[in-house]
Amino acid sequence: MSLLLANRRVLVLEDEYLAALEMRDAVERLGASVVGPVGRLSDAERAVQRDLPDAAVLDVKLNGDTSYVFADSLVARGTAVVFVTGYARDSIAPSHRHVPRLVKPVTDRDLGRALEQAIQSTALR
Amino acid sequence: MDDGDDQIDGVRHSIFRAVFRAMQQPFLLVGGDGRIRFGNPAFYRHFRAEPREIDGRLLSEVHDGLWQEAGIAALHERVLATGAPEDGYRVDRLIPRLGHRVMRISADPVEVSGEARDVLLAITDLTVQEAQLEFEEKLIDAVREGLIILNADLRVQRANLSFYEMFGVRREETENQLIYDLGNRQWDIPELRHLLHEVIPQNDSFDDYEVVHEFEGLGERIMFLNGRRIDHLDMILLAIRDVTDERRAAKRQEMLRGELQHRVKNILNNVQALLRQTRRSSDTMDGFVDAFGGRIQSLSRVQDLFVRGESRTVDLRDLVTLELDSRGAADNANVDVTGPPVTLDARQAQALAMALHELATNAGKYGALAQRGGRLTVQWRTETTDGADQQLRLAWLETGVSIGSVPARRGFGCELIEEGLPFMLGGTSELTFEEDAVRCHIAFSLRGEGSAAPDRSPS
Repeated sequence: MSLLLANRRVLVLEDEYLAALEMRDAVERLGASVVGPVGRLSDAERAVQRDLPDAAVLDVKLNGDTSYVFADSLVARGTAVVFVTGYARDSIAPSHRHVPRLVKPVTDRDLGRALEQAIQSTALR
Repeated sequence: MDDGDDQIDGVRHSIFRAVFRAMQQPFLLVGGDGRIRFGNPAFYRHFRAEPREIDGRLLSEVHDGLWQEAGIAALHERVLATGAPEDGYRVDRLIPRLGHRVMRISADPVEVSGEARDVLLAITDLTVQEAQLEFEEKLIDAVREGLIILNADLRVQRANLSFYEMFGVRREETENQLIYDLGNRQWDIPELRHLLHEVIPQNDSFDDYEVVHEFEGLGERIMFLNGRRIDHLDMILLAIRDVTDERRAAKRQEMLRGELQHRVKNILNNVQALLRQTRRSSDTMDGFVDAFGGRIQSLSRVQDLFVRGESRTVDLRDLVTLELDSRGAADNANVDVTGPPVTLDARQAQALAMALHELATNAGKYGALAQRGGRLTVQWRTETTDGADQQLRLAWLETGVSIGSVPARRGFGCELIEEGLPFMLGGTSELTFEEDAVRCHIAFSLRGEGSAAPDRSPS
């Protein structure tokens, strides 16, 4: 449980079903409530409109697409963003290296820290 | 003639004799009558003969008729008749004691006491030289790398077969050309100019100099250039190795390794996820081990299907049969599997296999595969909807069963079928338990976009 994360709405975007379940459970263990999980960008956009999440955990690579543009739109509206990827560090686009990033498999502790950090830095902006 | 002239002639004579004797090249003096007068020491040495075997004989009598060869006889005649020297008659034949020889013979008329003439034959043995040339040619052509020999003006003296093959050019359009003019000036590369004009004059060689260049008709190639200055011939030897394919293969290898690593990691993550999800809906340790083991085995079976077929697609019937087979139910008379051939991509196959596994497990524990009189029908068809999109509709139907009470807690299996499938493949999936039947209806688009396909429909 994290005080900072308690009752925050966290969107989970992850196209692998099992990974999405894992992320959902992990976010719940941290005390936040999950929006989703969703597997596609169009569903993610709808979920954002409907549920106004405070933060989002985004898989970078989505079955042939990336979540970079979507991440930018979230940042623009003040939503904290954390990237998750199964690839090595250098495979992320240089334009998005500043975004907090986790490599699968993700531990609860790392996820909690990354989300807290993202939420705090978003609040300071 | 006075004594002084005689004296001078005598001196000259001795000098000529000495020179004649000292010459390393074989000479043979032949009289106008075709009789051999004598040779110089080099001649006897070279042809491994004693003067007594040779001197005074007719040309036809020595060396197995070598000297009677039509060309030499004619040469002898001509020089006697015209009194003009002749050069370069070529002999290529087997000679006793010497073996196969290639020689060039030139003839000079020699005045003896006014009118009578002798003929001096000068023999140049080209055997070693020609053998060396042949060896060089073959060696050069046998080399897999492209080789070009340039003269001091950077014109191509020779190129080997590999070079012609590599660049798809012909000998006629290559030899004697300035290297920079070859094939529409495609070799006019700054790096090569630098190597030939600056590196070679100073260092007399360079090794594995990498050049990336767009070659006409070949596209971009990566070449390793090796150069050697051959000083005593005033030539440059340029060896070209095309490493493009090697590089591409290495890159592909690297990519495949990355891909494999990613997949392995993915599998481990999935196993870990399955473990936790299975634990959530297991009441006993035995139940957990059973369910978890079954799910892992199902994943592994689908993997086998892809490895065996070396293909990235799987037929739906194979997938259904594989799952039923694992429960020993594929040939069961109470099981009916019908549907047209349907090709599934890896993502669809993996997702559907997981769902089929949950259905089959359930049927094996509580449903049609567990109860006498139970009947299982798996049916599917495809529908073409708006344009090219194909929709798969699959029905899993268990009848003749008594499902006492509908399970109160919907475990991971149900969640996977009802939420997981639409998540992974889009479409819909419904699972219903009735008192005497279990029904599952699955429908999704076969277009292969999966769940995460970006929504690009015009809105």
